[in-house]
Amino acid sequence: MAHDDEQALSKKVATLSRHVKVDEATQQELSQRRAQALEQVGKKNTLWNLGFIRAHSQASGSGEGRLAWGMPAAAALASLLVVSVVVVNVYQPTTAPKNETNSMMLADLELLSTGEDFEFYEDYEFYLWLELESSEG
Amino acid sequence: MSLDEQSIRLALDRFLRSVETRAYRMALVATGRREEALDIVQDSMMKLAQKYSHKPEEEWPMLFMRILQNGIRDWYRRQKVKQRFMFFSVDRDNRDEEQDFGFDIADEENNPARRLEYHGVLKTLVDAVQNLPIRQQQVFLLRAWDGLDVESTAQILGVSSGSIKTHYSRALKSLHSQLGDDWYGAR
Repeated sequence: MAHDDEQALSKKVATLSRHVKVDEATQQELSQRRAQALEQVGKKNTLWNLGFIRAHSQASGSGEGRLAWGMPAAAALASLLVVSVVVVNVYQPTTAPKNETNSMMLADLELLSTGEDFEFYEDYEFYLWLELESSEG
Repeated sequence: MSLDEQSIRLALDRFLRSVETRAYRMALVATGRREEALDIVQDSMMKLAQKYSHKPEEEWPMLFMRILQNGIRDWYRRQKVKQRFMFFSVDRDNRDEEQDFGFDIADEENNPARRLEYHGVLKTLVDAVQNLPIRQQQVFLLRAWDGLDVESTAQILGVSSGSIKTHYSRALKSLHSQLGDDWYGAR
């Protein structure tokens, strides 16, 4: 692609972006969502917290809100999983080297019971990067 | 609420006001759906408020843009997984229906014909941008639409400047061939 074409495209997009604005209804929606986000300052981040607030804010919306209930549901599922693992382990009639298995399970339990949301683990690399940036000053 | 917390909220409110429209526009072009774009922006705002509001104010723009871009990328990945399991993509049909997603064209002269023309030009561009791979799309929007320089774009996306240049050049090439010469002729 020629340099001139590249310049023309960039210029055209820049012109266009100056003329595009968000309509009033969307602007109002953004304001409401900003207000809800600001409520989170100083609050602890929990799985329930994020999921509940989003689901609540969208309850009157177009039905997309029901998806947000997935987060509390996922928390309940995780709890059920933890209980199942414990129950299965207690009643397992095995003589296998238990120490190793138990320590692995304890690590899993610790991970599952930290209260962090799943998105935290999805963005784990990003947080590691942030940590590195902070420690380097 | 402590005085400290109150002043953080005020500062954060000011900051979010200044970036929310831009963030929404970017999420909207990426997802093509108003509700999903609003969700992504809200999630980004919440994450910033919950996890990083204690950070110095001058770090917020970079953190927010980074959180937003991660949100868009995650959405994109989830869509790809979803599509893999859907033989007949109902979502794509819905996306087309919802293409008129809450943009207005500012026209100082209040000329309806010109506004309509701008809508057409914009829609063609948005369609073409949505066809780009996600990384090219992100780089294009940050560089061309938002006017960020190579270094800032690289910092937000967490990649090298060289990579930004490559993605941007590929994006422009692809858009140029998708849009055709007529698009340039329009206003």
